[in-house]
Amino acid sequence: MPLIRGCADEHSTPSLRNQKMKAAELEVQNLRVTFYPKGRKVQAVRGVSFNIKPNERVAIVGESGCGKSQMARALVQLIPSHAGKIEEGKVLYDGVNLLSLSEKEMRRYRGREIGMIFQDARASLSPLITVGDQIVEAYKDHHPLSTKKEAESRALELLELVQIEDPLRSFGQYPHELSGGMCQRVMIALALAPDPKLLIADEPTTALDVTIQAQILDLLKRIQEQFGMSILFITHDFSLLSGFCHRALVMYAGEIVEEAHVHELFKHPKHPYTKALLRSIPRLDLPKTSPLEVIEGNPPDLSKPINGCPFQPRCRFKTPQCGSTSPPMINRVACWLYDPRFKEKYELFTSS
Amino acid sequence: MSSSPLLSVKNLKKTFTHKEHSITAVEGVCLDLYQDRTLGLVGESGSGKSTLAKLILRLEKPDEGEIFFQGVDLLKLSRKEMLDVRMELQVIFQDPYGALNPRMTAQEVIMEPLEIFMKNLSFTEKRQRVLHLMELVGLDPNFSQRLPHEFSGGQRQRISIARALALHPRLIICDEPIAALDVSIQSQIINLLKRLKAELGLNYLFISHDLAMVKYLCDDLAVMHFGKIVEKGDSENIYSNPQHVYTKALLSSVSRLQ
Amino acid sequence: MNTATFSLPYFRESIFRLKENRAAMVGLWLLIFLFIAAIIAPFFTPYNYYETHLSLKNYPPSKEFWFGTDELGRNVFSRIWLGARISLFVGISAAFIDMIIGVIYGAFAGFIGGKIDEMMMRFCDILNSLPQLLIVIILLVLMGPGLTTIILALTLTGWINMARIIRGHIHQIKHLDFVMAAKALGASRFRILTHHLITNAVGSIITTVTLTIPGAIFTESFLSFLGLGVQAPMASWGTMASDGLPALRFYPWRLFFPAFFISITMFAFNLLGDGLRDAFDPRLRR
Repeated sequence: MPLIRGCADEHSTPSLRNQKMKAAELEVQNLRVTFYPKGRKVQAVRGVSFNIKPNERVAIVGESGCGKSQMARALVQLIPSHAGKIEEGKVLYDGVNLLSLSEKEMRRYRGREIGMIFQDARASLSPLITVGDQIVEAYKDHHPLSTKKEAESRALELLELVQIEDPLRSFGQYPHELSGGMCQRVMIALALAPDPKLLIADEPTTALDVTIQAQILDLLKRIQEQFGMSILFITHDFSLLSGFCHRALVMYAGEIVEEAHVHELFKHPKHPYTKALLRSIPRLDLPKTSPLEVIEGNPPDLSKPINGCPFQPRCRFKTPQCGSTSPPMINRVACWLYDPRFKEKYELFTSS
Repeated sequence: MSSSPLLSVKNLKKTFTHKEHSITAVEGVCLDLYQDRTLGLVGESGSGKSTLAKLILRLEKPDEGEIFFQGVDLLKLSRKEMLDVRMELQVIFQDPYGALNPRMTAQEVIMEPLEIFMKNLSFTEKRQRVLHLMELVGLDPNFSQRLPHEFSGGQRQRISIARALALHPRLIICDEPIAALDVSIQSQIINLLKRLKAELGLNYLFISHDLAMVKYLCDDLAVMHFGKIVEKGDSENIYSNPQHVYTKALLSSVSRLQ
Repeated sequence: MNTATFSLPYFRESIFRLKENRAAMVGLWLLIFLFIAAIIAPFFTPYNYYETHLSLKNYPPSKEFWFGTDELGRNVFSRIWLGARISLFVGISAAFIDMIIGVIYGAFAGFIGGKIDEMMMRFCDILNSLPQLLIVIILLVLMGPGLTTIILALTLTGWINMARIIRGHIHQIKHLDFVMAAKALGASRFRILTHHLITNAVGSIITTVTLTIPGAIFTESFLSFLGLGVQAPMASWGTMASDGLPALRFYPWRLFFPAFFISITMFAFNLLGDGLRDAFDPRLRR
């Protein structure tokens, strides 16, 4: 379906663009972010490494406080300097370390090649400008040579693309006149206006009803495939993964503890945390009588130093090594159970 | 199955009017909750389920309809008579950050129902009960002097539950009690609710938008959409064989995601 | 009375936060110093506030008269501390009375809501728009000058500010879940008002009272300056400033000292009040 009609040749059709520019690859190396709320020191992100390949939908999944949102913001240097600091690490996008860029240089990437959508769409949109004008502004910001007419027609196309029912009418509406789901679609349209290659979506559907959630995720999936983007999807909701993402990284207490293709993750979770968490979520397709597993205790206090594996105090399969040394990520999981020394515990784990 | 329902709602209607606009939050709602069967009420935001909860608790006045609790029409009761009912009909709200008075310690929060209804008890006796309730819900009694913000979300919810249990109610209305909690904590609270039901002979009207959780916890189910009950009955039946269009749409969205 | 009304852990926390606020502590210590000085400072000099020394009129500050003397040879130092006692007394009692009336009025209006609330607030608006000076003059005619008149003048409309603040606060809190939970528990309306609504407004109340005092002190000084306050030989800072003004050119210390103390007292109360507001402000809580 050709969505781009009669515009300047800045816009090639999606397939052409795929050939022209390789969708970018993101590689994160050992990212550490510390926050300083009121004099305390909180290590929110503690040595995170992962990559995103072209055309891939990757999820970072974890509960609140695990550091996933902070990490997403750190990738594009959105951590305010008075609140926190990126202590260490590299974020390689197309070979360029984003963390080494100045704010001015960063703006070439942020909001352009790397788009972002957030949880509360209505709060991210300006309440004073119509939805259509906001998209027009975003578009002209990144295509300064375009005329107003071009920008407006592109904005309408985008509204259509995100499946807003009456694009012409919505164009002239203000965010408060639209429902939550529609605002989210507008935010997606805004993010897409500059033709990003990577889209970072931070809990984009959390505030929405279940039926709308499904629609938005379908939309994102379709757009991603159509335009050959990659998506980094941040969520706390495991149930959203299997229909949407290729790969998932499980985050706990600022660290990545497991990484796998989504089907593998659900079928054979390797990390005790992942396994316990999956068991504690009721599923529609499972019989009612299967008991909900409970993970006792609470996540660790990130303002205090953590010795060894962060999940260790709550883990049923602790090895002697867990309390002293943090397990390295080997074979896509960070857990001492996979060390040949602790075979027995491993057997216990797999048989449970 | 016991013959007459513990809670029975008939043709309940509530319209909110603000200047020229009016919204019918609840319309023609009929529900029955039986003693040994937990009732789940699912619906998306704006479906009217929270309003329904408030109507049952008489925190709002319905325009039409009847609410029978243990055979008594609540709407015909005086304020004083309603007080007696309140001992048996309690509530837990969703937001753990707003459901507790930020100036009151955990002990004061849990003690409040005792202060209202059991004035004849001495302070020590009341405190004993509070500590016992804290243990019952899995809270460390040593934390009784702490303020709400010193507890985690899951712990605050436990405080809410302890408060609701203080007067040995027969029915607790749970209005989205776990929606604001982390996934791993949700299962803790649900298991707690299940255990309390078994130990204390309680029942719940469990309001939620989380279909899977409702399926896990509830025997009966009612689906609400735009203020009306579109489908109700045994929950297993509905999940495996939904009849109404909306129920089907709801279930298919969730299973598509999963 | 239930301890929940004045929950100790909550206050302990707020006080801890207050202690960390340097500016507020400066204000607090200043006030403590002023209070103590108002009581004991006069004992440090043999010359009290009403003794006249006609041969020593208008002497600048010296070893004998630390703040100099006024036009009747009276010891300005002692008079300043008398003025302190009077100004502080007036300021604090006016603020206190404002608080009582304002809290009751505002809490009731906020709690009741609806038309009655609106009517009550409109009444406040009307009352507030009456020019204060007019009220003072009427009172003066009816009651003559003096401390009681001044306090009455201050409190007749001073409570409106507190009432508005409390009413606003209560409107904010009324709809929170914990109030609904209390209703569902069967709490009486009185209980909800005292245990839940007002207790959550206590922070605002304390802060507002603290910040009302400097205004009251200033107004009292102003009214006394106009000649409507205490009469000789008593003195408040306002009357001293009034007496000192014509002599400004030649004997500046006579205006300087009362003006200085008015300013510094107001300043100290403001620092403390701001600090209290920050200490109690729920927005700072997680």
